[in-house]
Amino acid sequence: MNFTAILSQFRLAVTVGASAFALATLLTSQAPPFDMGLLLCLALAVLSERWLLVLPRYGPFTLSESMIFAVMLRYGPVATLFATLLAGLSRFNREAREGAVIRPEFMFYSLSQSWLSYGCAAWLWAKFRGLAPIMSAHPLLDLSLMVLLAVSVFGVQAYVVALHQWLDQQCLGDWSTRINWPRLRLILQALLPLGVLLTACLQERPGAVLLLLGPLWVTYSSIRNYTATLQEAQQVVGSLAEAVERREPHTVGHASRVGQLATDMGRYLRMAETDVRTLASAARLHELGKISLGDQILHKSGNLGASEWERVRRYPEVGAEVASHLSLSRREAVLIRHHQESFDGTGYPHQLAAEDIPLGARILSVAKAFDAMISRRSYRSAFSWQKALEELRARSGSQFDPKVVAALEAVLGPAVLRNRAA
Amino acid sequence: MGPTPREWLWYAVVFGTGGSLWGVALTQLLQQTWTPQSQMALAALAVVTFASLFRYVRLSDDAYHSVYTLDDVPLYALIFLQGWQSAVVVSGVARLLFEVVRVLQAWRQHPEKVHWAHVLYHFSNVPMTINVTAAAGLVYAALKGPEALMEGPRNVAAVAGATAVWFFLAFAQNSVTLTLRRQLPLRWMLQVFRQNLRYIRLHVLMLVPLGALLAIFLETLPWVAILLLVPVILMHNALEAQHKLRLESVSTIQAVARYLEERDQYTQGHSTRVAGYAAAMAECMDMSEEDVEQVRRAGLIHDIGKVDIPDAILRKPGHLTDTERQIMRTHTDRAVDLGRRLVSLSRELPFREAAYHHENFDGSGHYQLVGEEIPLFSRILAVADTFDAMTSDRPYRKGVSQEEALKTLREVAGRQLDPSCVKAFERAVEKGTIQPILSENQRKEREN
Repeated sequence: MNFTAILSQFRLAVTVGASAFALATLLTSQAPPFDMGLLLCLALAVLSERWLLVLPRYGPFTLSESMIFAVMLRYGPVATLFATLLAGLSRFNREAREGAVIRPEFMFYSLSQSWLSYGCAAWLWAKFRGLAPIMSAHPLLDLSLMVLLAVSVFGVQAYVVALHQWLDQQCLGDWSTRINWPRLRLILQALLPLGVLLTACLQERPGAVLLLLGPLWVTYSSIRNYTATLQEAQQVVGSLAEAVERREPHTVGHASRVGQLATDMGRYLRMAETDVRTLASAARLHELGKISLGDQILHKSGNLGASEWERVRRYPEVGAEVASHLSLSRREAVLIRHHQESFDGTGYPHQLAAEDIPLGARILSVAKAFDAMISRRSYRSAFSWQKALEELRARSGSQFDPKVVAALEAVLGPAVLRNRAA
Repeated sequence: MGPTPREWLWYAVVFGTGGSLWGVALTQLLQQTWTPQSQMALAALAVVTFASLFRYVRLSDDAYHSVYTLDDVPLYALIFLQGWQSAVVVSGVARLLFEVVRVLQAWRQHPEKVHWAHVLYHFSNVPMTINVTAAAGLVYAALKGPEALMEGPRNVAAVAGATAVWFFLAFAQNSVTLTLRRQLPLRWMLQVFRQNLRYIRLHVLMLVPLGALLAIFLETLPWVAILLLVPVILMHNALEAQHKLRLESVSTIQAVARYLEERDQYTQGHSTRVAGYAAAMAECMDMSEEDVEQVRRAGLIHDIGKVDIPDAILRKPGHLTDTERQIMRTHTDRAVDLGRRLVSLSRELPFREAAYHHENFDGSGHYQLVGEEIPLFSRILAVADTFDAMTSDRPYRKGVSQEEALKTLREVAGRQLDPSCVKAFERAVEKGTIQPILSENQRKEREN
């Protein structure tokens, strides 16, 4: 299958549909009542796109969603069109300044996609509810309409985004795993209510907008601070994990290769995208526990003594313990703890078997074994990919989960062929 | 520990003003005429005030710390809607009930830890809240004009003025109480004040605007008032997550440091001991509690860069070859690099201070920093590190006694070590804070 062609057709379809909708809106809808409030909302939409927030698990988001929602509730479809476009352009402007390469066809697609969702919402709201003051005559009716509208429109948007991402990732696994539920929840629980609050302020007492902006700014800056702190903590731990890797020259780059493979395998096995991300970061840290092993154990090529074995068998536990200090890495810790378990229950540290071992840990163990086999060791040369796969197949069912080994083969499939051709 | 006379005096002032303000507020409140709506609003906001007290964020791990609570939002709504009297009465009752619940909880969990002085300290929050609420409410009432809330520049200024008064009074009262309770010298009050503010200044300031919004929406669109929970919760969770993450990052890195020591039985407990010695020295140098804590943390992580240094080099007796020294330096280089990259965690994970602990006072070290150019904390760590290296056993020799080690420290002071830090170490020895750590180490080594 030619994924690139399908992807560009998909983008084209969305872009054309959105343009037609925009044109129809401009021709049929009334111009919005132009006042200071609209100007303020548009300015806030543009400005908030400059202040990107990235929350772990939720992904990147900005407060522009709130501003556009406020415009939609108060000023109707035409104003929403402008708000969406301005916010989108502001976003691409920020990304360009940050050094990202902006592809025009992606930019048009992305603008179209967000206009489609907000445009539909705005159109439905204006058509069935009208632009009368909100939450005053029939507050409960207004509230339920808003919830209904938001859930349906942003639900559809989440599906479209997921489909696009799935096509972009070569249709690996199931497209519905790409739906970003946390982000959807964040929009519905936080960003849209803030939009309603903004609308209510504009409607009742415009001066009160000032009262809302302060808390929003403080929230923004403390989330920023939180992310910076998190990045720093991860940098420190990551840099220590890298240092551990350097102790054994042949394992340099091991963790990142395992992470790459495990990500593909997780997607192929239809893990939710958040779990795939957990898997990738667990892969990065999975050997951290080796900090507690001395050189005489780490570099020993012969058989280990009983007490030495005891310590080796503890290293996944040590790594997991360190990772679990950060409450954000609790789930990574579980995978790190069990990545040396064996499918038949003969592994360590807890002798778990089969489905008792978390799927992510089973994936890690296969990816890790494969990478170890195809890299050179002091006592042997590197295996070819074919030979490594054969070896894994031979141990599938005993040491490895057959399902996961099959996933590895599928993920490597085209690449193996290319390798052979070369 | 019971309160000092100074503390008693302070409590008398606080409880006296708070009690009388509450009494005045109650008498005035009882003389007012009430509509059913205002009665409902009062009851609802009172309940919200009490409930919101339970969502607090501890802002440090000290026994006596400040907390960030959310009760100011409904209290401000009351000030703006009904005047200072309602707010004062509600704040006093809610806070009193809250403190009672907290004491009962503590009593159920650890009855042995509940001390009457501690309970008194917690109950002083009740009059302090009353004082602050009354001051802010009176200022607002004095400044505001006839228009509705937030309408016209005069009313906006009234809200701002009330905020300012509330902010400074709340933090000033809190700092005085904390300083007295921790039995710190009075000149440290400003420092305690700053420490209180570090993480939360903007957050607490923003509770007032949210209170004003609550007042506006309760009058106009009551259903929208519920939505105000969103910004309140967002702000609260962001602050809480930020604070938790700081603590967690520290414990993560300290866990790494601890496991790193397991590599080698001869370095077991080294970091903890160095941290202990260094903290004892810092105390003798009259540093603030915060700085002492930072020195301790620097001690705990000072060897973390050694992750990838081969054991053969780490354990080698005698002098290292040039290549080996080169490899050894990567450990300080890594710490320097981490120290440069950390901004937000620089206080919690003092890698910069940890990095320079191998520098020599006379400038003959790797980075050739001389004297005061070496961060003070690194100079302290250098003394602690040297002392522990000398007094601990190595594969090729036994550790020396405290007296001998002290003699050597004095000898290298001025060349390798900072003489003033060595002096501080001697003072700590005289004070007896070094001995317990050292004898614990010697006991363990005899067992091995």
